[in-house]
Amino acid sequence: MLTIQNLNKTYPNGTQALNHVNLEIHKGMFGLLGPNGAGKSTLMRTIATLQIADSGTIEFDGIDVFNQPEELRKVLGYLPQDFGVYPKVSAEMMLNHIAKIKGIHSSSDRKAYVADLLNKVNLYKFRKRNLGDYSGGMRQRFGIAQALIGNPKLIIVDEPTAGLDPLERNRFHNLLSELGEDAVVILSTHIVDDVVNLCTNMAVFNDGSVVVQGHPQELSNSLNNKVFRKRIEKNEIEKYQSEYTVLSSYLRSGNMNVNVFSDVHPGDGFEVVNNNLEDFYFYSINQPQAV
Amino acid sequence: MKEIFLFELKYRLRRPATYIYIGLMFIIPLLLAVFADSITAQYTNSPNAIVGVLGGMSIIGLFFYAAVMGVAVYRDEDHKTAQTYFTFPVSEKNYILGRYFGSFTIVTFMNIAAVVGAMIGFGVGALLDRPDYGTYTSFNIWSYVLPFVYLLSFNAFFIGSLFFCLMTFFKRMSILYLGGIVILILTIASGQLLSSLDTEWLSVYVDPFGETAHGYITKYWSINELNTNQLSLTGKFAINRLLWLAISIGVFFFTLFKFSYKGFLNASKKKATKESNEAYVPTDRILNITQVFTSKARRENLLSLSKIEFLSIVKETVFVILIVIGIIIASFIAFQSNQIYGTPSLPLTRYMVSQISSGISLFSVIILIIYAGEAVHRTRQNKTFEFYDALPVSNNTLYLSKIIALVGVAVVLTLLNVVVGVLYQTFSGYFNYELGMYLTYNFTKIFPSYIMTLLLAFFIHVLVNNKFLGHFLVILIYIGMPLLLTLAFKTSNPLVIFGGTPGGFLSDLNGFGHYLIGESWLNLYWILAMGILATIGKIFWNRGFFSSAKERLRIAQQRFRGKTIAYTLLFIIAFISVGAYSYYNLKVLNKLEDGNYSEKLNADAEKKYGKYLDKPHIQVIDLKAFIDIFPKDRSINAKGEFLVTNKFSVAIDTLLMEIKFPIADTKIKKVIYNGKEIQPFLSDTDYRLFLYKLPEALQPKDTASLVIETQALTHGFTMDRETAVLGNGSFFTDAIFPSFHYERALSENGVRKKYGLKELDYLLAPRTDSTALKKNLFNEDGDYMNFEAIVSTEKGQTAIAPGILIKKWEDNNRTYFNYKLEDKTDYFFSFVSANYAVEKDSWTAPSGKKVAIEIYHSPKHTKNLAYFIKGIKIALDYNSKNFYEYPYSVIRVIEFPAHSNFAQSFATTIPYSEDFGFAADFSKAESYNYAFRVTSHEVAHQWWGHIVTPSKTSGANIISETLAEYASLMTMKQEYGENGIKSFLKNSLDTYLSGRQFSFKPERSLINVETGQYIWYQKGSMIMYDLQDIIGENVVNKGLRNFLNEFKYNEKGYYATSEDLYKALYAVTPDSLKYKVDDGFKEIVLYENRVLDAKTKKLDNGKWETTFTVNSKKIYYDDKGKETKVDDKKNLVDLGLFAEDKLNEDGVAIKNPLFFELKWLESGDNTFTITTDKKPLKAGIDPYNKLIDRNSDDNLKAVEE
Repeated sequence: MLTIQNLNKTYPNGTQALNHVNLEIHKGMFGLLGPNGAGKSTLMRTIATLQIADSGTIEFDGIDVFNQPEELRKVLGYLPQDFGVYPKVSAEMMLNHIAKIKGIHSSSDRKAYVADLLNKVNLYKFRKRNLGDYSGGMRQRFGIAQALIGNPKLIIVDEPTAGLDPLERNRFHNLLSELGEDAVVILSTHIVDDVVNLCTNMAVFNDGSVVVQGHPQELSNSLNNKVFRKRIEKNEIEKYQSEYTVLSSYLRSGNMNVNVFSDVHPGDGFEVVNNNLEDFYFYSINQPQAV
Repeated sequence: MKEIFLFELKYRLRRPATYIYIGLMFIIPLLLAVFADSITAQYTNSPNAIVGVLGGMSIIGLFFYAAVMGVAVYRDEDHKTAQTYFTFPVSEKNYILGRYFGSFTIVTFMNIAAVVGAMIGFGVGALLDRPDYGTYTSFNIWSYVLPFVYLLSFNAFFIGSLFFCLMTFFKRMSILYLGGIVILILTIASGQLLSSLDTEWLSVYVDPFGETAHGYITKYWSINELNTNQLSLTGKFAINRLLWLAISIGVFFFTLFKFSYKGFLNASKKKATKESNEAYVPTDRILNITQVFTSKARRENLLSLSKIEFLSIVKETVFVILIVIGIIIASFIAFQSNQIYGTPSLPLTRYMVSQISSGISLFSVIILIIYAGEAVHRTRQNKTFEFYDALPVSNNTLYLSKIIALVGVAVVLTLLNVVVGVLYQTFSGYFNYELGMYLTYNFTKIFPSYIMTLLLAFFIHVLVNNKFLGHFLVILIYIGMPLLLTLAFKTSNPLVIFGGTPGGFLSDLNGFGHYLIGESWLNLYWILAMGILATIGKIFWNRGFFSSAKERLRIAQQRFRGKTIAYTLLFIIAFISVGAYSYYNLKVLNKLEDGNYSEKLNADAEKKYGKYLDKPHIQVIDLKAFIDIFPKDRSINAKGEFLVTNKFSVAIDTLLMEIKFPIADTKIKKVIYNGKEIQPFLSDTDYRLFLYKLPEALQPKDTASLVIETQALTHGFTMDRETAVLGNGSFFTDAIFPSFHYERALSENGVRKKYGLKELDYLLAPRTDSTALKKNLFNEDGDYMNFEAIVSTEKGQTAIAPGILIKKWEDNNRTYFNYKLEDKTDYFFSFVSANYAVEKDSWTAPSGKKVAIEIYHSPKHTKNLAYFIKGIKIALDYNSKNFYEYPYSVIRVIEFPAHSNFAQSFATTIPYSEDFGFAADFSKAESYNYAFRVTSHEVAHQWWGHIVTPSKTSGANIISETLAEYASLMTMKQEYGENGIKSFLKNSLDTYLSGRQFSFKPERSLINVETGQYIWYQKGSMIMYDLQDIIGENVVNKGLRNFLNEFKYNEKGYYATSEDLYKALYAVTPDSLKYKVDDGFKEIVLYENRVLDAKTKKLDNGKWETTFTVNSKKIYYDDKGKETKVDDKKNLVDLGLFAEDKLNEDGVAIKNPLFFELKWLESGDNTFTITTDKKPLKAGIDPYNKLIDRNSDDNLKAVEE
């Protein structure tokens, strides 16, 4: 179990990236949803021992992350949002090296293990290719592979599916959910569907703090019968925004639609939209005080 | 374009690094200028000195130019902005021009900062009251503007264009390093080329910075010219500047026209990629994977991480290229420096180790600094750290693995020294590899310095967290700090100068000597100091992200606990202990003072004891010396039984004794005067001067017996090399006994002024001073005296003192030698002891007297003994036949260890450095045999120095040195013929002309010279050669013989002066040629001779009639090099017409004259018409460069038909 208590972090330029963050994350997949710049990456890095907070504590299965970073690293699998590689080293060699660092010392075991891992992320064929020659998607899969080495107990993946094609994305989801059975997996993303598909628990993160936390289904259910959709003309948006609590406006088949929040049916032309996490997400980041 | 230009400018101006660069470019020349000094008459802020400071800045600026100009375009690649940027509506040329000139503007700001820094620095220097830093001239803006344009701006343009181009097309940081290194190599190579007469012309083209070219054109400038001539774009300097300007423009336009957006983006595409189509075969192992984090696993991790780090360095192309360049440079340096007077020395291991390492170490240091930076920044730069730093590997392991890898690289580089040395020896056909010496040398001297360098560089890179700045700071500490400490504090304390150790030297006689101990302690001291830094660096190791310096400190604080504190303390305690022990050795047991200490000591002494100058003092008429040398303890016990007299007209009641022995702890143990032990009433143990009251005054002409016991001891290790007594190869002089008179120790007027002492125009008394005429220049404590010595040394070594060996015996495991001089001589003796082999020969004087010739040499040196013997024989012969018969029946050449490179002539004995001919490879000599030549010079001193001794007056030393040089030159002429000494005279001319600007006192004429070696050796030999060429060798020798007979053995009661020598030569010279003697001895005369034009035509009778015009000028100069007058009289000058050069029997090209004659030439143009049988190719005036002429290139000109 990962317990985050009262975590604060302010950057020298005044940005408050973490503001009294409290989270309790149990085994299973945990989704962290939030807009760009919400402080998700700061939180991920902080959990992953790469950054320290101004105050607060993080504890994982009895490991005090700030005071025993080395202990945490032994059980950690981390895939950062943006990372580099040694351009002249092959994926196989690099994974082998990381596996060794992660404590897999028998070289024959390691070799088999790495091969298996490469196969899992569908890079086996390209294992001898230098990382510098990988495409963006391949590189991302390499990143996934390195994060999975050594049966980590805490897996943190920051925007893992960026740059993956749908096939690879599914493959990855499967892999991740498999691991989630026995580990704490934190998936940071702004793709709501990923959370819906994978996570048993989630939190919405905005402006450095947890806006809401819960089960995705329950959270989206909480807005049942309170979200309504209407097809409108493009030039009507401003009018609707001033009259209703517009959660989102989006195009569907070239037509403008708005989703609005309302305790009562707003009337003419609106139809109820139920069980939509995206609406909940927009709702929660727009009105943090409401929940 | 304007927008791009402005953007570039604004971007740069927003970067803190820009201000750091500008700041450094300001502060460095400022410091250099403040601490610049001049001990010659050159102004401290002469135009030439300013060129030196600013020219040097453009070499230092290489870093900054590269950092700014190199990344202007590369930035778009690095930040991946190229893709978007290039889609904007900006043409490629405008993009390039904007970026280029934006950066160049910044670089120009830096250069302006350097100029302003130098101005302020020299201004401050001039305002401070520091007479010892020289005199200043008034501010002249052109002295700064011209070097700013011709050096700083030209160089910035070149370096800027080059790096801009390289980075634009190669887009790799490594190319920046390589480019920088190639340019440094060119600079070093041009300096090397300049140092040799045969290659100096080439240096002008090779030097990218113009500094060497400037050195080339100012080589023969007088001090006056250095003080007044501004830098100007003329001559060879112009060629150099314009050549490199043209290259810069070429590179610039190449970049401008070749650059294309497409090319820039495409170049990064990769070619072949590896794929394997093997299908994956699953195994069942994977399920039961276990993770082990035991300490054993940690060690294994450390090992494998170190290995990866190590391989990632040594597999780099740049690393390999650097090594290859290092090897080439090292071989080049070994080839260039392993020679003396144009003759290569054998590639002995002791030469190889230092010469190879001097080349390789430069590159090793560069490599270690670069790769320490890479090791720190590698995961940051490629952003791998974002996941790598979250892996379960401890900071310790990460940090240590990098250091271990760098140490591994240091081991490789150290071994490289050995390998290259051995290969060099093998290719030179020399197979006596001394592997033990290779390993000892490289692992006790070179390897520790590599370790210090890499730890320092690593620490700074960890702390600074910016690669360029890191590199620069390391270099600043590496080079700048020692420079500052030496310049500003005049200290040589190895405890404060980074990496400082007491030096030693290698010798075939003495091996590594006793020096390794002190060196190892100091190496340990510095490694421990760096160890402290390394442990501190660990807590600052940058893992993950940190957002501010404050946070970094917080993390550091957090990490500073437990074992880290323990290790830091351990290092600190070890460091302090080793430091304390070293301090105890260097400063408590021995003396270690900065440069100002001895200045002040000497100044105070002059104030206290100046009253004893020129006071009557005792004179030695007989000495029996008992010298016990203890090579193992490196100590000496000495007892002298003196018979002394008072040759003055007043009674002497005080006995002054000053210890001048080079070993600091030399004490007078006992003084017995006429049987009574006396004690000093004044003891100055710092200056080592003691005053005794004589029990009864010594009356004029009375004699007394004086017994003095002294002891010289060495303690622990010291900065002083203490070469007087060594394990094998002790060599010291009669200074083991105290001197009986006080002499001034400070001669530099700036320093004298600083301490309020009277400034001295001349150091010695004028030739009219009758007291000084009675003083022997070499030692005024005795006139011609008797000498006997009993020297003992440890069994196995041979001890040698002047005189014939009367007796030799052994006692108590020591060997005793009793020597006695057959004839009286001046008070000037040497004592030598080592393990020798002896080569014997003999020479028979014209009178039939047999003289034994003995060469005491290291058993390893047997190759060149014949040349020494030949030198002795021919010199004995020449001097005996022409001047006076050699007075003794023995003469010895005795090898001493290679701590210095000279030979010195004492009566019958000539101690001779082992580096001065014993290890030369004369089979590859391209020039005269210097073993022969130096030997004949030293043997000539037996006459010129010991039979005729100079008086203690201005100019008198030419009697010793110029005449020994003349006699040596004549033996060479006899041995090699006229042509064989051409290269010798050419070197003399070069050394004299280039020595003038370094003249520490005003340039004296030959008759007045006191300190200028370049005058008494080189100018002296030119003048004497010309004289004998014109009036005849026999005539000159007749004059010298008369001179010797008049002054030999101080029979006249006073010693000879330079005036006496001048008169002796003047007397034998025909009237029409007397001007030659005057010019040579009393004036500073330079000729400007050149052929203006030469035409030839075939006559009907088949002969050739050549008409040629020569211009001849003889100019007189004052002592600062200012022209005083052009001679309007006629002068005798060689004229010649030449056919194709011939080869002599040695295969050396020599001139083939069709016509050659001395002619009286008017000042100015002279035209001659000469008929020759064959067609002349060249016409020449003074074609053999016998006259002193600064431009000897124009003395020959091709004849047109």
